[in-house]
Amino acid sequence: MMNKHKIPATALIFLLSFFSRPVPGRTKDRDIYDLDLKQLLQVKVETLNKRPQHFFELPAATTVIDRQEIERSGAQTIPDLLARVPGVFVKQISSRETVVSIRNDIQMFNTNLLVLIDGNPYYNQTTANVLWSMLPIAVEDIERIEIIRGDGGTTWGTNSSSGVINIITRTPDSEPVARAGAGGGLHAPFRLHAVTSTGFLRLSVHGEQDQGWSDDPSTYSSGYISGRYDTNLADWNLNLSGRVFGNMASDVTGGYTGIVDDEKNHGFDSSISLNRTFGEDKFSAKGFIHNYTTDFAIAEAPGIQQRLGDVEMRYSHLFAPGHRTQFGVNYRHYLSRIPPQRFLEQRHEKITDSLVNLTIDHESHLTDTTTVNLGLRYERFTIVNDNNGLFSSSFRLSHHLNKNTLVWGSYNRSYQFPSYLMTDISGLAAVKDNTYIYQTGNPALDPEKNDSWEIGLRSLLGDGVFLDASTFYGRIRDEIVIDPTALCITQMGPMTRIDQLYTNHIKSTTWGAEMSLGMDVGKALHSDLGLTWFHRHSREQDSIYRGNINDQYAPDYKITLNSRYTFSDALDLSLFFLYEPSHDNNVTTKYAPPRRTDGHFRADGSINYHFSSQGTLSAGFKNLFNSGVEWNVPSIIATPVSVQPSVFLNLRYHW
Amino acid sequence: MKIPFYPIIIAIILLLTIQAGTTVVSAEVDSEYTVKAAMVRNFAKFTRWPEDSVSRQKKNTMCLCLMGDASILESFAGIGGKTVKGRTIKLKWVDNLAGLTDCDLLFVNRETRANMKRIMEAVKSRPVLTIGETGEFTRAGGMITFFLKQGRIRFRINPDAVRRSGLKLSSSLLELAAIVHPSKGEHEQ
Repeated sequence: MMNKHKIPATALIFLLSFFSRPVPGRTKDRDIYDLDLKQLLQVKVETLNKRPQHFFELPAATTVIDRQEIERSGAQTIPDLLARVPGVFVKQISSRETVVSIRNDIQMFNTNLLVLIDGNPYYNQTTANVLWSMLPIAVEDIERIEIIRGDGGTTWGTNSSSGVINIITRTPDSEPVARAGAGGGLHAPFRLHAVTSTGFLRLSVHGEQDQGWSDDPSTYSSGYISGRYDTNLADWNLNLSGRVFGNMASDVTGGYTGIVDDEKNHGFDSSISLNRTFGEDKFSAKGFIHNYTTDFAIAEAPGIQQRLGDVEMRYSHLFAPGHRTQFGVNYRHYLSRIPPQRFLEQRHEKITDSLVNLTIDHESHLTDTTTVNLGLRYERFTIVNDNNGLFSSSFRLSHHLNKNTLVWGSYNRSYQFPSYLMTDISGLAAVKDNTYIYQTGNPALDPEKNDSWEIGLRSLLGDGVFLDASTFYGRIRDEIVIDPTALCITQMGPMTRIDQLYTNHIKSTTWGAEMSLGMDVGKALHSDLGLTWFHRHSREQDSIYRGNINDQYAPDYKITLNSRYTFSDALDLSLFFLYEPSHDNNVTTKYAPPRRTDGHFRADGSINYHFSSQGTLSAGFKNLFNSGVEWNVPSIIATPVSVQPSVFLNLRYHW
Repeated sequence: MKIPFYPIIIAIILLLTIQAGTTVVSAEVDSEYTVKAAMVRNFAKFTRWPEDSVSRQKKNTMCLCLMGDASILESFAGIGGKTVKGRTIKLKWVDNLAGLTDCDLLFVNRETRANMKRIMEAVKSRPVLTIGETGEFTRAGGMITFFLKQGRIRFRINPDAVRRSGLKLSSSLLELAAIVHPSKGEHEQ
């Protein structure tokens, strides 16, 4: 049955903005353009602080971590950087594996956070998550990270209802001829990295080995080779990129099986993109494939293969000054292949799935100070029950109160699709004595529905003081969970098998606020204070359990302080502090008793000595004052261990 | 109680659009990149390109290439279509080094992620007037660098870089600029 969507009001607003008067001519600025040089030298100008100008135009809760921040921070992994962002919860399970969530429960398998590399999705359809240890990109190759908190469904597609993390890699023309880096330390991975670039072709190699934390007997190794080629063909910008990667973990203990085994993962990805401008219009086309095999340290089992192929075209047309519409069409194909395994079963050895979506995004500058954005997306996704297609929508209104202050508000409707774990797979969830409890998928699932509202403010308050604040309210319907009353018990000799089925639905509300206050103290010191407040509440939709489920599996709040001090051109210091209070944890089956995690405090830092214009030596530390387990729920692929502080040295040099 | 969001949103839009003629810029102050765009046009007026570098096809147009943060396009759009010595300024947004092939002027915004040395390498053998905003740009061989002084825009000229390119700058322009020689260790902002 097709889900109906209230588009009449949305269409009214669309038409209203489309036919509204165009942006008034900038009489004053046109006068400026005709002044001579002597006159221009007398004109006083208003400048923003060092943040890029477009940052004041973004009507969304967005944080950007740029190249300079990445290098100065001493961060060793992408989650180390994400921990600094308000609204983002990062939990270290081991020295290798991390769980990340935005504006939602902290879950290893969740369907609402989308991770992209250069706009290409790294979402794992089988387990509905991204395995951060398997992302084939190191911090040394990252140009910037864009974190969008809140629903990205209309722009980025399904399974992005709580947020989107877009990792932008470095381009050939941003690199020197060559650069290399090496690092290591106590309870820190040994790392080697090298890049060479001709300005058009960039090659990079990365390898690291991690001995794990004290409570963790595992060791981890990973590496990749990547290449990117940028060129112009007539008026077309073309870029080609590819990556081959692999990682291995030795002596990994399966969270439920208790089996100790090695885990090997390997794969490749490749993309091509074409862009061209036609006057004021822009066209872009992109193709992407990502294929990898992983065995999740399950004993005596061949690897699980996953492949994603994606083709997309977008065309952006300027209908009139201040009114632009972008049209998009996307086709995505998933494949998952799980050969017969001891603790993981799939109804069909191979699952393929296809998604087609069409998008329209319209932006209108109603006045010099007010902009409205409307988005519509139509999707057909064969994995779910509903084959007639779904409509997502977004509405954003932003207004400049003055040159230095932007206020904005938005509404979003989007969907999440269940993973193969929820639809086609039986996976071992717990073992006690001779009783094996499996979570078993249901092939007749509906998509989960999300509505969210948020308002925000971004303002330069004074000389060097910058405020970015937002508050949100979200509603999730038909969220799929295990129904503990729907059990299937099978006696197999001395062993009892209990299958818990994904048949139940809950509805949840989330609300909270985030704030980042940035301060420049003179020219040498910059600090960002981050505050996050989060709350989630759920209720049964359809089972014999009527009533509330207090299932917030995330802290009530988070406090961060990120500071950078520049002693001189040759020496700078970066410090990061974080505090989160104690909170409950649980897995997707929300009816098992939750486990409690203690509150924790964390400090990371790096002092950077630029011994020449080409070289930097850094000494850093991570997880200082941090101890205990950050997220104490085992999963089939990871056993939580106590956090271990580390110290390390890094050397980097370029030619 | 169900909150009727759509009527509220429509009401807000209508209220905001009723505000007519709202200006956010005071009579005395303009946006940084609007002024810089106007200055770039003036730089072109004071520059002479070698005769053999202006082909018949390019006699009527002058290509201003822009690199960096896309938000500067709006400010520079004000000089697109204007003329300098009978040549119409044509704006070209450049994403990568391969797009620098037909530039007469190049403005490199401070947010550009491209390596400055690579940019200068890409244009060094051609008469391209390069304008930037950072010390790194000047050290890499950039010709004109903007800087701020007491809320007003100023610029420095690197005459060595200009000389190497084959371009000629009018003495009127040189008189208004601060002159710098990075090769002799002189530093920027």
